[in-house]
Amino acid sequence: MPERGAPDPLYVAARRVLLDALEALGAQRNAAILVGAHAVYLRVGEGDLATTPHTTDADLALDPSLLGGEPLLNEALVAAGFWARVGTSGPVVGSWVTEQTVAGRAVHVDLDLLVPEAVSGAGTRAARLGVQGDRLARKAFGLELALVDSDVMSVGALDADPRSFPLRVAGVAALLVSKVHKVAERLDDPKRDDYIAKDALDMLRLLRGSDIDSMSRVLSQALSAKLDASDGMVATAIAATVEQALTLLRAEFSKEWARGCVLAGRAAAGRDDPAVVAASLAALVERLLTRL
Amino acid sequence: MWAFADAGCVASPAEPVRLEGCMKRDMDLFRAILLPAAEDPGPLCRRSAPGCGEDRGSAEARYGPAGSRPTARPLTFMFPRSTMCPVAGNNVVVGNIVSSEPDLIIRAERLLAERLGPGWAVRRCDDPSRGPGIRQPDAILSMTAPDGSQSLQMVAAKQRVFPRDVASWLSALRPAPPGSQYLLVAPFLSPRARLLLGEADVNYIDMTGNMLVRVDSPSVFLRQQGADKDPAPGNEPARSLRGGKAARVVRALCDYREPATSRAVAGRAGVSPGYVSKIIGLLERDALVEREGRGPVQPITRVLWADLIRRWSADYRVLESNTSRLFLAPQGIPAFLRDLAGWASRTPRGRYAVTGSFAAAQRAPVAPPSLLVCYVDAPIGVAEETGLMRATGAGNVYLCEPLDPVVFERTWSEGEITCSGLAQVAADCLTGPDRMPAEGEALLEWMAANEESWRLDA
Repeated sequence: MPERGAPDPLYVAARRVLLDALEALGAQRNAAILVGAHAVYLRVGEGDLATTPHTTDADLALDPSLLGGEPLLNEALVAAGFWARVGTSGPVVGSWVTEQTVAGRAVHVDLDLLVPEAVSGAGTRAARLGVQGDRLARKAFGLELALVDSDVMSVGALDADPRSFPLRVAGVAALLVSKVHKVAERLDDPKRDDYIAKDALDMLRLLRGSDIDSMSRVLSQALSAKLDASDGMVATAIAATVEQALTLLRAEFSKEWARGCVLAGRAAAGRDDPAVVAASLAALVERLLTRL
Repeated sequence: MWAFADAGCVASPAEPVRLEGCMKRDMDLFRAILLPAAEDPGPLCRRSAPGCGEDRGSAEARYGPAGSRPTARPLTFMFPRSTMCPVAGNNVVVGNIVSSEPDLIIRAERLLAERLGPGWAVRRCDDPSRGPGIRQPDAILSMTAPDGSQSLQMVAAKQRVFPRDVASWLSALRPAPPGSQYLLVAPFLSPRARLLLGEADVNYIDMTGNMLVRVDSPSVFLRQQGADKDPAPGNEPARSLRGGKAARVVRALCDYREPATSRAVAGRAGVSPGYVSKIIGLLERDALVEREGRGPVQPITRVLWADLIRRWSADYRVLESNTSRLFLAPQGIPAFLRDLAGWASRTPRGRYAVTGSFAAAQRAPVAPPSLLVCYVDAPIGVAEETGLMRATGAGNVYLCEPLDPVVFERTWSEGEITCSGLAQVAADCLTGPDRMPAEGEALLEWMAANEESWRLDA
């Protein structure tokens, strides 16, 4: 088989930033769960696609029930070279930035700290994290299943950086549910199409790289609140998140002409056949839904 | 006779033949033959004359007094369909017409002038001198650029040219004089003939529109694609490599090293020696195989296997010649290949052979392959066993029921995957969709550099 090219330098830089953040988290790493593209690629690799895995940021979910007081993460992140992103209307909660040198150029790489909405406390945007304050991380809907569907993996660099950390990484079912919510809630926003197309393609990677029967088992258990959640309310919230995700899958991803599938094809254009990508995503979603 | 405007019209008795562009010499001949007849029809008659039956062809001529250019004084003559003024050098084939050599030159001159466009002039120079021992071109055409610079084309006109003839003609060719090139003009030049001419830096024009004219000064580069198949093929015993038996012979010639007798080839291919002889005859005309000497019992000493595979690909298409069905492997092709290998290992008489991009990429990777082409005996059954879905729109796996089981012979393996013989893979790539032809060419390059690793000893 032809050698695939070296990973995108921005992807390598984003993994380095993730490791910087994990180093800064110190003892609080126990409360962190890797989600997003890094988790997808760790779980399933390239998903037999010619389109190379690629992301320019890093996403970490925080489990408030495991979050302690030491170190204070705002301070630890600043000490590690991160600063809070400032948007047009002020600082963006949960968005941290650091600088990396990529191909001789200084680039800013984002680190997003997210808390599943069901366990993030009151408020609309910022997660209320007690002693850690309410500027550290923001609420995110769709990550709930990662609280129970995750296990520890070793997370290392994509280059010669020798660091690696044991870290909880979201399971394929949790990652699929989070991607479904992320893509579906932006489908009506044409300006975000390109931004989320990659996430739709990651859904195909997840489905190709997983055992559909195992994934459907996890989802079934989540639906019936049989997973080992910390309390009943969390289990109910997880079930609601999964149920909504399945509804969205049926509506937006189960036919090759559905918007989510077309979007996945668009992300693969140039390296893979967009029509094959769209049809494959639809077929595997249909297969998953049938198993449920 | 210089130009029949519409070749083939003699075969259609109702159609008049218009004679145009006649030169003085021809008109004199024409007058000598036709004028008395026109006054007294005899075997020839005016078109409107009663008694001209359906079995007669007709000709309409424009001519003027001897020594003048043709004028607009039309006369119509009728004459038997097989009559075509042989004194002027035309040949007739019933049902078809082979253009005369002077006719070819005139038409080539016109084609060249049309392609060069306004401002350029293409003219016939004086006829070259002829004589015993003098090897002269059939004509010399001058090409004059708008700035006055000029080059000469030494024209050779040939009625029927096989690549073998081109090869022998090229081997006898002396370097063209300074400021000139050779130009071969023929009714039809096959892709193989054009390849040989192009490689020898010889220009060509055929009457189906194939043209390659390259001149350094004045700077000219004309390339045009015409027909790839002869619109008026002859009566050779074998004219194509279509079909399963031809595939077996081609594979036997490519897969084994020379020398090989026809009988040995027949044995390897599992066909009759007579059939092999026919195919070898075709390949000899195309300068694709060479023998020690003349005659069918002489062993084949050289197979130009890469060109033979390209020639095969002119008559064969992987997705059309085989019965192919498109499927979707939603889990991706590597996952399907694992399932396929598993199916073959647990199924009695279960066999498959991967071809196309995936097989080629094992030896000469160009880009990550995205379309799998695979031979199996029963595509639908295998699809059901391996979880493939019938493609309603897009698909990434073609399962092909082969034209001939030779695709399962002389296979090779990479890991747990079984692939068709490389000659088969190359032909399949050359005739496949998308970027497969480029992958086929890359594979042929690899095969040329590693011939010892895939061609078998006799």
